[in-house]
Amino acid sequence: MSIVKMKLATVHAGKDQFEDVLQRCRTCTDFHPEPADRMVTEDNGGKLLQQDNVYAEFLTQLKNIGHSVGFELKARQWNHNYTTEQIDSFIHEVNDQFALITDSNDTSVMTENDEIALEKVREYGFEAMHSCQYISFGMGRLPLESFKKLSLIENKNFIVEDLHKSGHYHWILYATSNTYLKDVRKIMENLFLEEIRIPSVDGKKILDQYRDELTEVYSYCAYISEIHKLYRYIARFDQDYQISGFVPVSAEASFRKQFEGLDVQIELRDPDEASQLTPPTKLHNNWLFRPFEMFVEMYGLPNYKDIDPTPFVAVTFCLLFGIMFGDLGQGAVLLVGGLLLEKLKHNRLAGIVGRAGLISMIFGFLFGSVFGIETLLNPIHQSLFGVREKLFEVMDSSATMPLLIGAVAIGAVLILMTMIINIYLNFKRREPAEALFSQNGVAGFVFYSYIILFIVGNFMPGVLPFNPGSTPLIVLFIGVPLVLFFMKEPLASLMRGDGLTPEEGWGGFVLEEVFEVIEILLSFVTNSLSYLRVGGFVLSHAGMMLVVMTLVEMTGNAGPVVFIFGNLFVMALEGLIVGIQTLRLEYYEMFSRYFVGNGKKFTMISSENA
Amino acid sequence: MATSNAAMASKAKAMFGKRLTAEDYQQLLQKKTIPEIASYLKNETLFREVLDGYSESGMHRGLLEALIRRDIERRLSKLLRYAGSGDHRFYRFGIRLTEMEQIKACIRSFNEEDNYKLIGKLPLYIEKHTSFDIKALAQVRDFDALLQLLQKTPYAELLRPFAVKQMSDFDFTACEGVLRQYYYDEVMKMADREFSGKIRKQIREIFLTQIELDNITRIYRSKRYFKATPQEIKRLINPVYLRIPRRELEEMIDHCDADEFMERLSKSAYHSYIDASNFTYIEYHTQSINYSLNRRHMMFSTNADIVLVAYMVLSEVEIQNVIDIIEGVRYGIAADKISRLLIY
Repeated sequence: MSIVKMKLATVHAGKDQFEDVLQRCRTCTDFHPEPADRMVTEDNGGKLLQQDNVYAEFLTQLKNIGHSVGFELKARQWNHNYTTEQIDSFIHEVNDQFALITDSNDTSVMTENDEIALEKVREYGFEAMHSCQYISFGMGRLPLESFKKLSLIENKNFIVEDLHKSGHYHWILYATSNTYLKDVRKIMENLFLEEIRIPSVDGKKILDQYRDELTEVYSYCAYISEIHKLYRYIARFDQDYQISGFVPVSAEASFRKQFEGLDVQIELRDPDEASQLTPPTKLHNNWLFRPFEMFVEMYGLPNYKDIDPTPFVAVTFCLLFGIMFGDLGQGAVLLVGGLLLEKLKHNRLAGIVGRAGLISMIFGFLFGSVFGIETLLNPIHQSLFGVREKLFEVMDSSATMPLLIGAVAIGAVLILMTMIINIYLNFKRREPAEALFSQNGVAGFVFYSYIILFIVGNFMPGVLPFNPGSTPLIVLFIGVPLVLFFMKEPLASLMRGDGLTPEEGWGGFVLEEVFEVIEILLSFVTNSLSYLRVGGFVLSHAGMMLVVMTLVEMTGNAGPVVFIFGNLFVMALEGLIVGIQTLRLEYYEMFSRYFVGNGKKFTMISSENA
Repeated sequence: MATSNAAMASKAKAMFGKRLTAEDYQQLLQKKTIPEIASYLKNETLFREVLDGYSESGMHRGLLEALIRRDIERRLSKLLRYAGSGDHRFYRFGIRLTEMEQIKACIRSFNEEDNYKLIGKLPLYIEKHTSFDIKALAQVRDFDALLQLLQKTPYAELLRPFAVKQMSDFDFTACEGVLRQYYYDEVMKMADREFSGKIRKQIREIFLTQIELDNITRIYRSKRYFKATPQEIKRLINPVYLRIPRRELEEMIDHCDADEFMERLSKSAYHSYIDASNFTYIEYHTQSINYSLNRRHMMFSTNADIVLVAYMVLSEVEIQNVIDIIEGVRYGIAADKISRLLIY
């Protein structure tokens, strides 16, 4: 449950070996390469490897050839090596051959249906049709209405074969004697025939002849071209060709093993030794928390030196979702459906739904709600908790206020927790001013927690062992933090050794900071109230299910159907809304307090290619 | 028959809102080939529905034009679905016009060595709605056969007096005039039958405006290109005097040449639509007037019937714009010249 620790790996190879090294790096699953321009400086004498990628040009030519004859080239495992001269001469040869095909037919604009029709004409033999001395052929697509009009033509001097049909066209082949050709063409023109040229040579035959070799050469070029693209990772120091990047500490041995059999040196160092490089972030979490990495990645990865917030996200997301969507039955459906989908489709969102479903079940049990039936668990509640009816009647008017206050209390706890994380992270990042004086630092923590204690003290006298309203305490825990908020910038500047005077002068500073402090105070209020939605959705869920249950009663025999569809509807609608609202709380109320998300993703060459 | 259907009026207004904009026309004018135009219309405009399923690449110009023209029928059918039950016969006035166009095309084909062009353009998609077997026109190769085919329709009696021994003597202009007059009479009769009160008055006015504008076109063209006498001109036009009083129009026919006619027109009730000093060509001006008047109906009328009729007229203008662009691209006419033909 952390950010994976990295080592900076450098592979040193000779001129003859570096391409093999690149080839192995290409398939390596634990290597994040760094572009060579980050390793080369004016001082260290390194050079970038710059070579024209002639294979990319070959690839384009081969693709164009394939496209011109309607053959889609796909790279595969190749068996032969080719020199550039061999490839060049092969391209010339196929170009000459395929020019015959393209001259005789413009296949680039042919649709799939055109191909089907042409395939039927092929049975007659293109060459044979073109060699007829007295009969002429033509083919094309005719709109359906025009096809009907063929029967209206009197004294037809041509015959038509219907080759193929779609919702809008017929593909036809017509034949006529040369004497009537002009007349027939006039008819076809007036019927809007969209002519397709019958090829004079059978390109398919030629294509069949070259298909294998074309694919082979293409695959070879594709491979070499890919290797050439990786040259940007190679830094050359005289005869030493280096590729550097990051490898997880746990994968050191397997990384070394990748290069077995090659005459290379592998050097593994601490990332701090290369200050110009930022190590990439790779999250590593256990099965339970792993799907929640998705939410973190969506926001932005944490910096390598920060902490992985995934477990915190997982716990808080499930908790808030579970409270808002508290239903034992519906939670169970989410749990089973989610985990099943996760298993079958490897869908991370489904995994999140499954886990959140479990917490929904727990809260559903506490609220005594099963698929909207609010009385089913009453006997269990009575025997377990010794209550008269059930533990918590959500729809009871007396429960509304505790529910909303509870929601804000949860919010307050979460806000305080995010502040603690922020304080820790800022100390870790060596930014003490931010950790001490900011609204999410120690000052903010003291201020906010004292406000909460103050409210608790006022509403529940005698609970606290001290009087939160006493002036010294207010000055200490409210006044001092406010002054610190206000003075944060000058104090930070002082700690950096730059003096106390703000850059913009005291006048501008005071004006700016007054508004800043007002905004901080407002944000504490709004952020706390934002958690009211947690209570709100508990009520909303119960309300919606009440409607469903009322409809079930009203519909008599159709009740079970309404019950099932009502539950499905509420699950889909509310599951989505609650999911979005919870994510909103995660991102705006929690992440904004402690998470920066400026990390660099761990990217392997293989995933780059993908 | 008044539909009084707010849904249909709203739908028509919504569809009008999706009409081709100045930007669309600019885009279309930039196109160099028919497939490019087809692709734009199919992917970016309301014509996508009628072009759906047709291949833009290599699309035949004739097919594109035919499909674009057919869109008027699709739009009407779509709107009538909102009008509830009823036969909505009035709104099929366009079918009568198409029938007459086909009859005229058939007569023209008698002088040609074949009738392939006629067959190619036969609108078989409306054959269920026509008053005679439109498909059978393909087998008609002389005037008698045409009268035979049309014998159960009013067209037969209208056309019979024009029978001649040799088609070279056929008075096509007069025949066209009789058919046109019949069309407008029929539309007026249907309007009188189907509507009442203010709606009838407004619908009549829409069509009377068309007739009057048609008259203006004919008068101008007769004076400009055929140097026709006032008597000949008076025989050509429909006796409809909506915004220009009879005496004034007759005076214009009797005493003005083409330029003076335009000058007088620019001071008539149509003065706000015509600027004699900026003359393009007569059909452009009359169509512009028609477009502006119907656009006003479209924008401000709350009556479903008026809105529907206005929308059909506006759609025809839009379709003609697209056809002009297609023709322009086909004959390689400069974009700015085509642009001057467009009414929107």
